[in-house]
Amino acid sequence: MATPLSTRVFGATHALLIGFALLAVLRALYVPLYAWWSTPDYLEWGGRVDAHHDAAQLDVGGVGSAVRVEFEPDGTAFVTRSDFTWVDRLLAALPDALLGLIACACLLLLARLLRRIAEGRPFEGTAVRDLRILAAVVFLASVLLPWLTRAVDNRIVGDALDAGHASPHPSPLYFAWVGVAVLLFALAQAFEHGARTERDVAGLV
Amino acid sequence: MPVEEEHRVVCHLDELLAARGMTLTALAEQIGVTIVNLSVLKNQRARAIRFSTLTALCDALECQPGDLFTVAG
Repeated sequence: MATPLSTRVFGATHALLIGFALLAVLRALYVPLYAWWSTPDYLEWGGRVDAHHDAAQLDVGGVGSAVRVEFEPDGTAFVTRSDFTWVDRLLAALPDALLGLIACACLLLLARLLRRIAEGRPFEGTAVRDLRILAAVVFLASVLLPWLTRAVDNRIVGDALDAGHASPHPSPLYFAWVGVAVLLFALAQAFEHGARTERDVAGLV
Repeated sequence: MPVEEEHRVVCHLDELLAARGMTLTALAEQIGVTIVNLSVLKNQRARAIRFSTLTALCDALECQPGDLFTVAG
């Protein structure tokens, strides 16, 4: 009997998700390493700030200082520092790296779920637990990532932006991610009922 | 692995088949239930039975449910 199209689609999607998970990990490693290699003598930061500025350039600490801030009229600012430590480098890479690892974990869990569905046993084993873990990871990421980004930005460029009477614009809570987490929790509950029903009909003739 | 619910229902399908000189395959063909399911029943691995299956079995074996199932102990 030919494999149904839906099964083949799920199988292919499973392979695709594994590939994306690998890419997410590679990106999490590559971005900071590339930044480190391409700009060994200075650390760059760009982002929105919460005070409106006309276009301006500041050398914090005076001309020739190790810290330069450029403000744009659209509310963004760019900070270039040459007085950074390796800890600053690591911190700057942390949100991106964490996002990559979270994405990898989510994609692997999703791939496992899709493989079970493709094999015709969606409610088996750890399906319910995997969905709950996925929901929890997405929810935690929606809270942790904005907070971490804000904390890292303040650490790296807080003083520099202070000189221009500005501070990093706080990242909002990732509300869409919270919605996804809620949906995943609901799906986990539905799968739990499915698993219970499957147990009830196992051995039914 | 789900916890098996305890029960003491015993299925006497093999005895009834032997008494009537019928094979499992023939019974399966006659009542439209798969051999796999009948085998599950015969080997005491069934956990539930549909009334439609029970009716078909009793008709084919010319017996009553009480002849097919008893509660041990």
